[in-house]
Amino acid sequence: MRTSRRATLALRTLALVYLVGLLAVPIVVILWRTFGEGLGPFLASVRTPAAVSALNLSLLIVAITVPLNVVFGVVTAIALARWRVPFRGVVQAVVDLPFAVSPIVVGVSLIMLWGVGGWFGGLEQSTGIKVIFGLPGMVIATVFVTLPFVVREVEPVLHEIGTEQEQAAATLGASGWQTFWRITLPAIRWGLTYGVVLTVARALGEFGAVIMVSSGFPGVSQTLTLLVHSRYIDDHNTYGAYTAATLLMGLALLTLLGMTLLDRKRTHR
Amino acid sequence: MSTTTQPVGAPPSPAPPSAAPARASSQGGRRRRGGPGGRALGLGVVGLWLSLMVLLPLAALTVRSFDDGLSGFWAAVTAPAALAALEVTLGVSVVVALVNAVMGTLVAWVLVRDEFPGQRVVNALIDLPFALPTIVASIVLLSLYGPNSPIGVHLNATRWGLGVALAFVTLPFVVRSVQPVLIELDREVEEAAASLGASNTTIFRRVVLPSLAPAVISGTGLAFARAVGEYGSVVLIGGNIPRETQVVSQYIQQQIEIDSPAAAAAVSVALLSVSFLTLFVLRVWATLSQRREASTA
Amino acid sequence: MITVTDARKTYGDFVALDDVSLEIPAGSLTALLGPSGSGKSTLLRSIAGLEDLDGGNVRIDGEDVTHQPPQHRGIGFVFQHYAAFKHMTVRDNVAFGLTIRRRPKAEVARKVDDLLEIVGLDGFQHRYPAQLSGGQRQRMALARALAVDPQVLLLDEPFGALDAKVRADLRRWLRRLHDEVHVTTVLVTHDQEEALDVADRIAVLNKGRIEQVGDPVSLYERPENDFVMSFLGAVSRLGDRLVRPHDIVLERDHATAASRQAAEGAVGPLVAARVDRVVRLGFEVRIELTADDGERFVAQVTRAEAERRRYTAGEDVVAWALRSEEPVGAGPVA
Ligand SMILES: Nc1ncnc2c1ncn2[C@@H]1O[C@H](COP(=O)(O)OP(=O)(O)O)[C@@H](O)[C@H]1O
Ligand SMILES: [Mg+2]
Repeated sequence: MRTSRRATLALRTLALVYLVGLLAVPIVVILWRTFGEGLGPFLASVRTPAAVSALNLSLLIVAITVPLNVVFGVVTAIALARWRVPFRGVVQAVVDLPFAVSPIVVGVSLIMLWGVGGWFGGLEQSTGIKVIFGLPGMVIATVFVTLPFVVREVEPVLHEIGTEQEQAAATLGASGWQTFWRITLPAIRWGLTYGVVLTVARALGEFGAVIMVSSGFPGVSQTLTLLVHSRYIDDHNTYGAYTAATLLMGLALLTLLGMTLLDRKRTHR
Repeated sequence: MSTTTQPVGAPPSPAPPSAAPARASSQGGRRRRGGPGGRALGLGVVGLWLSLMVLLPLAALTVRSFDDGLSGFWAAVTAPAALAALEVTLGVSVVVALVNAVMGTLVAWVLVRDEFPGQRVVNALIDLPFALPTIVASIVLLSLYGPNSPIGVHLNATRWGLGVALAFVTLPFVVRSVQPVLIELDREVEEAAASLGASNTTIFRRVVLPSLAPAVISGTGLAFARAVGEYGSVVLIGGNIPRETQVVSQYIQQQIEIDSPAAAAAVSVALLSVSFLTLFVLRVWATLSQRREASTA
Repeated sequence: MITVTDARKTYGDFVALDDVSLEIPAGSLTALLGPSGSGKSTLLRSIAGLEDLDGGNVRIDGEDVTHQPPQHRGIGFVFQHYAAFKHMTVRDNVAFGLTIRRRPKAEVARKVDDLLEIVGLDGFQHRYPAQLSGGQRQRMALARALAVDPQVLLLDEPFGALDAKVRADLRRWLRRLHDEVHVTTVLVTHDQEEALDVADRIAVLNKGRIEQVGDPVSLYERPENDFVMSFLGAVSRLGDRLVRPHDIVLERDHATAASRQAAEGAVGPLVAARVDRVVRLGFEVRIELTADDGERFVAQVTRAEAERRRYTAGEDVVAWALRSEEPVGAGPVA
């Protein structure tokens, strides 16, 4: 279909106006608001004790979530791609479930399970481990929303590489573990890395599920996203909210960059 | 940038790109790994992990939504404020999904068929809403359309504000689902139609659109499913005004705050049902249309 | 020596191996030959332990390995699509089995270099499989399988993914390699020419059963049934018998044909036919005929013979065959 020059220009303009108004301009404005007064105030604002502690907490949650998702995600992907799994369809659906659940509903569900009066509410009384309104709750919430990423990135790769290399390793004397470490893992490494990048991005950025299960004390149980929210809502510190958001945005852009680069690696192997 | 993979925060695709042709041998008993004992252990671990992390919380939610009995559930879901929140959510989500169906298709078209300087940057920009934390999206939009708007547009605490926020976070769905189809589209069919004297409008309506329709619909459905559950991006710009701009997820959060967990759970179940139903319909529909495609091929 | 006894393998209702028994002599190069889906790979993979049998057993050099995993069977396996370890260099691929066994570095290096020289890949040590041609990849896979000094070498259509020229070169090379290394080798193929070319024994499989086992010459010349006859080479139907086209002799008249047939000590029908077409194919000449009863068949003669006799289209001839062991239908039908 060949469109006339005028139609082409009109369509292009319409599309770009939409994207600019929705994506580009708001980002330029927030950057301008953040850095308009120079780098100094920005740095000061993201170096307050509350901000530093929020960054640390966010990173801590990422540091716990990623290994959990890598280990269990890879086992799940291998089970789905290689083993005879009873109720495979159901398992596949369960893996996808977290994508379909609203973050707030995730939070409520965790409260219903782990909170006071919840099914596992007794745990807190008997062991003193505070799940809801404690670090475990925030980690569990983050794991819930990021659970599908590693599985969904690794499973197709396992199908794609097939089983012959693994069989060849077996005929050459490699045990199951040796085959996994020397053959399977190197073969899925880019898919796995991509899954990890997605997990990190989502873990850093998760807000709704985490706010439901966090006590939200500045300097204690505030993640970066909670900090943005509380600075804007509770402290009426609009500038502080902008700077914290810009920091998060920087991390997101790094992720985006990483995704783009990895994607090239993954597809042009 | 990826055009085929599930983006950050994307709900399950109704028609997962059929993973590379699963070789017949890959699921049979054609190889050994760690012996049957190791495999049973692995399956146990997977089952336990998925149950503990995903199934048990959702089961607890569902069971406890009936803490006050069926009537309690019904009362919670049909409370006027709850219904109002549902109405606002569904209304705005439908409109946003439709807007993005049109604009997303248009953007995909321009990205595939047009050529202009900076196109690659624009293409990369599309994924930004997936990569950006939702609360950041909220703040970003607020900086332009909020109380201190530099352009004098104040959408704060209006349904327009909700719409903009939801449009922002759901933008990539339609674009990323239409783009690959558009790239694969056989242009000779369009040329054939043109040689038969069809006008551009006719070609688009009769030739291009039917091929794009499945992708548009699936992208729109995913966008809708995402929009109804959205929280982070609307929390600052939405205003949370009951019966005006309060969305369901905000209503649920409020129920937790005023300590009525059963009501929160009940409305959560209602919200979950909407998302599941959407995705279920999409999946069934995708399967059916694939079958139709296969039978005509 | 490999001994397979009553091997049985089913997939649901489908019987892939129907109580197969087979002996593969030590040091031989045996081909498992059969059409696609006949169970060749299943049999080979059962020997390797990549497939669990539903019944029967497998012995390698007297030891019952039926319940041994592939790791402990002392085998080398070569896959049709190479199964190259894509993320490893050629050298690391070949060294894999030795590294797994924690052999000393020096020994590994020496052995890998030796093998790469044998398979003609010295100088390619540091390449990745993606940088090799198909034929080179398969030679690498062979070196990799040989590196662990397997008692038996199993190859599943190893040349199936290569183009015709490379395939012919590689199989002769494999034959020479086998003559040097003498490891008991089983080769799966659906290509009768390949089997006749490299193997010293052939087992013909059909529908999960073994039809006949023997050396290439006896299989080609004394097939026990129609299936083996047709699978091992071209056939023409002459009267009630299947014969090889190059065994057909054409005479001008009945009397000459009868006397020549008697002189050769051959038996079988004399068939009156008319020449439809004479096609010259280089060294050979193919003559297409229609018998009196309407049956079309093909005879193949040498160019010299054709020049001498000057067959022409429309000519009436009488055909008989030098060799025709049994009437059609004596064995299981193809
Ligand atoms: N994993 C499996 N599941 C079901 N059927 C199989 C499987 N593997 C092989 N088969 C069937 O067994 C038969 C023999 O297969 P195979 O040994 O691979 O044949 P060949 O190698 O002679 O072509 C084929 O009909 C094939 O379809
Ligand atoms: Mg085979």
